[in-house]
Amino acid sequence: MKAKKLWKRLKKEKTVQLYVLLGMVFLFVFKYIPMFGIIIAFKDYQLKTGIAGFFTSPWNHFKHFKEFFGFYRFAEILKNTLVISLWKLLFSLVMPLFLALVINEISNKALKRFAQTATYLPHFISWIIIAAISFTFFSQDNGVINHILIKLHMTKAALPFLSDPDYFYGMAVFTGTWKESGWWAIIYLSAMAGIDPGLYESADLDGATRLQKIKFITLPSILPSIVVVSILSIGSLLGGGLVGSNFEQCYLMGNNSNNGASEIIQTYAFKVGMLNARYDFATAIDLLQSLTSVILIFGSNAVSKKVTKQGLF
Amino acid sequence: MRKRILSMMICTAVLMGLMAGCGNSQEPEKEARQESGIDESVPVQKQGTDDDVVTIDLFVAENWFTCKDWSGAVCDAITEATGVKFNVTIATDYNQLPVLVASGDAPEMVFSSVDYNLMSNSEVSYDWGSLIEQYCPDWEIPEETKALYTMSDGKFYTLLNSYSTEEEWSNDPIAAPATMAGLAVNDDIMKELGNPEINTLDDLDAVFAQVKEKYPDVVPLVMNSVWMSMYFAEEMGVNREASFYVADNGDVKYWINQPGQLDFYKKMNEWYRKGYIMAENYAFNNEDEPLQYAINGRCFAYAYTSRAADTINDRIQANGGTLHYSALINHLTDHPVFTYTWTGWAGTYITKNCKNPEAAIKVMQFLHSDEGQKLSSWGIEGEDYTLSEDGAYPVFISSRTDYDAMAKRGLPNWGLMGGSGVIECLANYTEDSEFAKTIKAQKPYVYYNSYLGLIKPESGTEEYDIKINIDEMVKNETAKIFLADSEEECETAYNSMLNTAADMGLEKLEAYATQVYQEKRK
Repeated sequence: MKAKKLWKRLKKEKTVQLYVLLGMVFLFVFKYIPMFGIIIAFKDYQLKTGIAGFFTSPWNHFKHFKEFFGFYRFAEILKNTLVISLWKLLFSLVMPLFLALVINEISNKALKRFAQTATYLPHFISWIIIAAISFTFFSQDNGVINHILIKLHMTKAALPFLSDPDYFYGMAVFTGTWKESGWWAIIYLSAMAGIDPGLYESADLDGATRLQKIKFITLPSILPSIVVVSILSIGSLLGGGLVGSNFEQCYLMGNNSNNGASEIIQTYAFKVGMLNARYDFATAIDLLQSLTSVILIFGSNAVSKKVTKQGLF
Repeated sequence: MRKRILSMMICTAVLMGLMAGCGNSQEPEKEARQESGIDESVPVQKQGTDDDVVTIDLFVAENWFTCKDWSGAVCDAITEATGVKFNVTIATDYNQLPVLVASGDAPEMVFSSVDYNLMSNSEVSYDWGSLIEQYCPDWEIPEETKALYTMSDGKFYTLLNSYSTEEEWSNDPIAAPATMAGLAVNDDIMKELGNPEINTLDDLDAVFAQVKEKYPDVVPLVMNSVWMSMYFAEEMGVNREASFYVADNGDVKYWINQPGQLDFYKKMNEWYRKGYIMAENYAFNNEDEPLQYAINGRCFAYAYTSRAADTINDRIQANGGTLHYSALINHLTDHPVFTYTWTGWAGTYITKNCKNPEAAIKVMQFLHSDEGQKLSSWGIEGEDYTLSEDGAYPVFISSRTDYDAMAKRGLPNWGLMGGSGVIECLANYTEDSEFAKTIKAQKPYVYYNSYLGLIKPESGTEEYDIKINIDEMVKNETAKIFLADSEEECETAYNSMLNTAADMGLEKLEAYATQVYQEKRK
């Protein structure tokens, strides 16, 4: 009886359901079927054996995982990945929210629109261009930033931003946050737009200051958005959180001299795995990272549900 | 209702598009080509459609080729001589060919610099030995050359380009391997310093010190991001051209443990600590950034290949500048070594899908002949070049740097299919050029040993994994050695690198290398 009712409902909604079906087919073909390739993480796979090699290659008893864990730079690479990701997670949660609050407080409409556009435009610039711009700005020999720092007597000698590993974390977090903060602020701004203006008017009548309105009206009202963004961000922590692009940043802005800080799991997998045709090894490393991300997203969702009573699923 | 019909139509169109993307079992070849991103706009010509001319599909795995098709006077001349023309497909990246081969749709012929192991396989390609025996028994290939490319099954599937034997280099009065490093120095600064003699490392050291003192805005030494300090390694007798060297006891060793290696590192580190080299030199990710220092006169010396000075001067001239750089041709020590372990870099393969292997091997015979090499590399005599008075090298009539104009003539890429090292070198030779002076000075110190260049563990083997892990480790650790804050720290970093290499399986890699080397030498 239930099935009949369901079928009747589906028939009634067939046009809309067709869209859902398309989405499901797309997901299945392009997301689920390729997942089968994960099997090569546990095998000694050779590209020349083609798809058949997925089945015929010998099992290797977790050889790639053991090799990665036993790699002499494993701790360093893991540390780089975590430190860069955690710093970016922190800044990518705070900065867009801060930016959204500031933009929301601008009363001049033209200025507000300009500020919003100017801050989200960097999102559309590719990392290859940002890396080139960074090189020009931060060069030790003739970079603008070093010129300014020296002119302002903030440093005696030019700072090796691009070659010294000590500066890399800061560079990665700064450029990443600069690029993406404006973009993610849009989510918060749209959530703020949905707050009942009556609340602010009542607060005005009660003599609330701007900061008090932010603290007692704006922030609690957009809490569900903050929670959703936080969970998504923690889920993609190893990829760089909301800022993302850990790989692009570290690959493009990394070099032999700052490699001690710029080598992360993804760049290592790419260099040793993909560039040298060790696809099985690269798959194993990536699988480890994906598993970590899945655990993080479920974990953060559970914690969020317990603490804030809000969750993604 | 109308909206519903419209929605249904859109959904159906999207669904069909999606399904079309998933493939069509009736067109496996087309599907594989599309998956690999091959340009479908290039029509597939059927062999033998132009009377007696045989058309062969040629896949070029090098996306930087300026010749995009088989056209121009040079190609016409090759077709006239051989009766073969190529239907050319240029790949957009190196991943396409492995996918084609894996799906069983390898094109008839393939030109590639990166797929030697993949293509040198009896399941994928014809072995040249059998084809030569059957179709062109008059083609004589030196045994040494054949041995270089003979695989573990006893067959060879290509002859790599750009390679010449020691005998061939020695027989040519001019040519010398162009894979050697070189140093260019700024003439204006040299003149202002009174043209000091530079005959030793100490002399160069003293000049760097003067440059640093008198020209604070000029960097004494800038190194090309790929070639880095190779020039100084070679001048100090350290082989950096190959991954391996032959130790005194005949064993083959990985390069980091050579005699003189630590002294070389210490010298480079000393120059860094004295401020002659920027730390940022190790951060350059492309070759143009360091070159700009030389072009703009912001460095005194520029370390690159034997074409260092000419490369800079050409760029300065093109920009209308007046600066000039000269090659430093005096050796800095009495024991320089310019190691030639080169075995060539790209090969042409005749795959098992080739419908006319006879025509394919015959066109390769022509392209490897003296006549074919000169035609495909230099062009048509009288139209593209004339020979020098002594007949030793070509004097080009038209520009060799205008690649668009050259491509219209069918130059210079097809010369790579069969061009030898000697022919390639002579194509770059200009009397009195800095390159000419450099190779003349370096030629007596060349150490030929191409068997060392053959030690390339096959992908999927333990030795391969060890080697790429060690290579990657050395790349990262070398920067720490060069940029150490003191000589002691430099030495510690070097020893640490050796220990790490040992932990990563260096001994096993060297045992394998020794075995391969000795087998090839037989």
